[in-house]
Amino acid sequence: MRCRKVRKSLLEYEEGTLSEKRVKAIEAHLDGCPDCAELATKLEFSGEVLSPLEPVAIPEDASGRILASLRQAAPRKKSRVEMLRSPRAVTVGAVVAAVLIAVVVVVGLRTGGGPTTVTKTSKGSDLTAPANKAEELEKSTTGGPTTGGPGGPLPLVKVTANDYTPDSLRLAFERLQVKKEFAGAYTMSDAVNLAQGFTMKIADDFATLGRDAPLLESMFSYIMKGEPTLLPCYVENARFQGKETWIILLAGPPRTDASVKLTRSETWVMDPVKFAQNPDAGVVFFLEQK
Amino acid sequence: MSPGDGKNGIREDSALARRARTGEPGAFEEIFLLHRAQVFSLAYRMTGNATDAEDICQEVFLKAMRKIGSFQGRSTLSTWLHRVAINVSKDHLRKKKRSAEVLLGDDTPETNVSQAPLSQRNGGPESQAISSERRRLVQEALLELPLSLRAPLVLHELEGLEYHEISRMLHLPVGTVKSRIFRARVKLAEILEPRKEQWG
Repeated sequence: MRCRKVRKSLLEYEEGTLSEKRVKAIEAHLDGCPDCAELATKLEFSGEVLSPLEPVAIPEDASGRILASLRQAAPRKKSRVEMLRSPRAVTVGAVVAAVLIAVVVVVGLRTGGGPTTVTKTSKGSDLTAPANKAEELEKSTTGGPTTGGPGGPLPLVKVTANDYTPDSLRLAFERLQVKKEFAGAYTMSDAVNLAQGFTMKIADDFATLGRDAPLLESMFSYIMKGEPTLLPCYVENARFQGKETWIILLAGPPRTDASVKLTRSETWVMDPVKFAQNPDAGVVFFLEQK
Repeated sequence: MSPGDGKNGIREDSALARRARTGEPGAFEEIFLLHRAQVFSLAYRMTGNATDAEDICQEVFLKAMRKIGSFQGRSTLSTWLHRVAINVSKDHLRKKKRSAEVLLGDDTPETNVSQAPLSQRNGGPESQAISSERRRLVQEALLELPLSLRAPLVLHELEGLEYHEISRMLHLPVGTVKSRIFRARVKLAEILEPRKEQWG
C-alpha cells in the first residue's frame, strides 16, 4: 500500500472500523514506514485524550437565566380580534369570498341549464373540468399521494453495464427522467410520508434482481439519518470508475429557497463491500444537484 | 444524536415547532429544555469558557425563537440547533478575537464542580484532580485549533455526529470533513505532545 492510501484510512483504522484484511495491510505498511507510523501514533494519542471528554452539563443557574430571558422575549400570542384585523387575514378573507362567489356562479349556471362557463380560480384550475380531473384536484389538495399511488411516479431500480466517471455520472443523472418526474410530483411532506414505502419497494425490486436488499436498506438508513425529507427515487447497480457500485438517487427540497418541491437531488455512489464493513468507508462519490 | 432523530423525530419536531410558532405557551420552553444540554456542551467545547457558552446558548435559543417560523422541518430540530450553535459560536469567537480578549477565561468549568461530567464526580480527590487537569489541557488544546478544524472535530468526536451529518451541517464534502478531522487529531496530539506524561 502507498502512504497516501494508508493515510486516507488511518482515521478509520484508529476508530477500529476497518476490515481485518485492511487492518493487516495497514499494519504491514506501518511496520516499514516511520512517517505513517508516527501519524498513527498521534491519532492514537488524540483518541486517548478525547475519549474521556463527556458532554458538559449546563449549570442550573445558567439554564434558569436563559429560560427567564426567553420568557421575556417570547412574542405575546395575538388575540382573535388582532388576528382578524391583520392585513394577511383581510387578504385571505377576500380570496375565500371571491372563490365562494365564483363557485356559486358556476353552480348556478349549470343547474339553470345555461351555457357552460369556464371559470378559473387564482391557481388557474378549471372548475368545469371532467370528473376524473376533479378527483385529481381533490387528491392534490389533500396532501398528495400517500402510497406513491395514482398519478405519482414510482422509484426505479436498474442493473446496467454502465461504467461512470464523475463527469458522465453528473451528466447522466442531471437528465434522468425519474428525477424530473419526482421534482414535479412530490413535495417535502410527501417525502416524509412516502420515504419508507418507497424504500421498501426499491428493496423488493432489488431482491427480485438477485441483489442484497437488506444491505441496500441499511444504506438508505445511513444516508437518510438526520435528513428525513429525502425521497428515494432511483437505484442503479452499475460500475463507477471500474468498480462495482450501487448508485442511489434521492430527491429533496432545495436548501436555499422556501420551495417545498423536491427539486434538489443527492446521488450517492456506494461500494457495497466496503459499506458492509464500515458504512463511512462505503461512500465512493457524492453528488448534489439543484 | 439527541431528541428528535429520524422520521418520528422530524414529525415530533415539526409538531413542536408548529406549536411554538403559534405562540402556544410552553412550547418553546419545551424545545429549550429538550435541547439546552447539547447546545451548551457544543458551545462550551467551541469556546472553552462557561460564560461564553451561556451567552452563546442564550443567543442560539433567542435566534431560534425568532426564526422558528422559517423552520420547515427539513432537518431535525437538533440538527438545526447544532448548525445555529456552530455559527453563533464562530461569530462570538471572531468578535472576541477582534476585541483582543483572551479566549480562555478564568471561569473554566473544570473549576466548577457542577459543570464536571457526572462520571467524574465520584472518584477520590486525587483522581478527580488528575482527570480535571487532563480535561483542562485537552480543552486548551482544542482552542488552539483553527475553527475550520475545531468544529468538525467537536461535532464528530464529542457530539457523536457521523461524517455525513457533519458534511450536511457545515456544507462540506464528506471527504473534506474526514480530512479536517484527521488534521485536527494530528494537530491536537502535537499540541499535547509536551504534556504527554500526564496520560502516563
